[in-house]
Amino acid sequence: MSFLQQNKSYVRSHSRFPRPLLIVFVLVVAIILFNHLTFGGISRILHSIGVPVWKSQAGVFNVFQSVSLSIQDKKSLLAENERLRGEIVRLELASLGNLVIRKENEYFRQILNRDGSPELVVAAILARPNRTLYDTFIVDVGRRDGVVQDALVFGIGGVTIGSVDEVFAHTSRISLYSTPGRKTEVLLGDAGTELVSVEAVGRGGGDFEMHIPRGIEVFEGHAVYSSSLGGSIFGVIEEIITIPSDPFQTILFSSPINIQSLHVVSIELQ
Amino acid sequence: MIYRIFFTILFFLSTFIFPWYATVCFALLLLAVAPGYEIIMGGLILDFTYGTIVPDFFTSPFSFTIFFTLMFIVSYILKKHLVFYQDDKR
Repeated sequence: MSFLQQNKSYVRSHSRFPRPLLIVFVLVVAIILFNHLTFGGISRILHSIGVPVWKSQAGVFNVFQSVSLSIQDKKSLLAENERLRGEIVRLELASLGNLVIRKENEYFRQILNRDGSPELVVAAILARPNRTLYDTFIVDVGRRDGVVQDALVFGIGGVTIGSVDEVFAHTSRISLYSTPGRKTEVLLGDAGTELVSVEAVGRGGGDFEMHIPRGIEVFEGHAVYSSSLGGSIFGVIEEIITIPSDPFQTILFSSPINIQSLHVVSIELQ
Repeated sequence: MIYRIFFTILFFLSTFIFPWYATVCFALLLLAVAPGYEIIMGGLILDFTYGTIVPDFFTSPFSFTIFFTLMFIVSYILKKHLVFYQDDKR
């Protein structure tokens, strides 16, 4: 074979689009279509495979945590214990101040015939939001436990953190309100002022931002409330960014609870 | 071959166990030792298990599938130009 013929066949064989990749693409499209036609059949299979893996991982993690606690310095554990006791006392005192407000809230609910707290189911988190960039997590309750799509999900202290995105037989996928780009209606205001409805946009990992006119007075540390009736705390303002030439101000706030440290959540049963 | 099997198992396990950046690292290792078609399947697994519509990610619930496909295509093009991969076995 001459040099030119060899070169042509070399270029031809190495510039051709690999056939296996075409096969993979066709397979991917077929799998996506199959999942769509079976109403999430493949997702259901993956979740049933994932449940024992996630539970084993949680078990192994607990073992490592117990071992690390047993070898931790006793002094540091005592110091941590003392600090947490002080924190509990401080929070109890703060809670007493809210007791009056809670009683008043219950009274108004009765008048408006909106009495009755929603029924909740406690769910353990199997896979945390840091698993992917989607800001979703998997819990161990599903259709058989009465969970429905779009049900509200609460963290510690009744803080609304997201909603049920998809329900499977024994698991559910929860989408956080802080999913990048997700828009949520919230209430902004303080004691003695009128609450203003604002749209908050998620930035991921429990963080949000909103753009409001500079005329609305806000301060760092103020609470942001959920727009649902009985509105729980949605977030706490952390930073206010103003530019002299901009008639709007950017408010950065985050959820008061650390999503990554959550072990259980409550899901509203409708 | 043994490396390919080892990294493939690690990669698919990491989709359930490890954070996404560990999965991306295993995908890169797999691409280094093999053609790496498996990473596209791994992207599908991530999307079917955890995926939801994310407005900031082109509103697609298949962001990882698209990302790993692009990774594969880039690695394919790079390998064509690298002397290290001018070998029929790879």
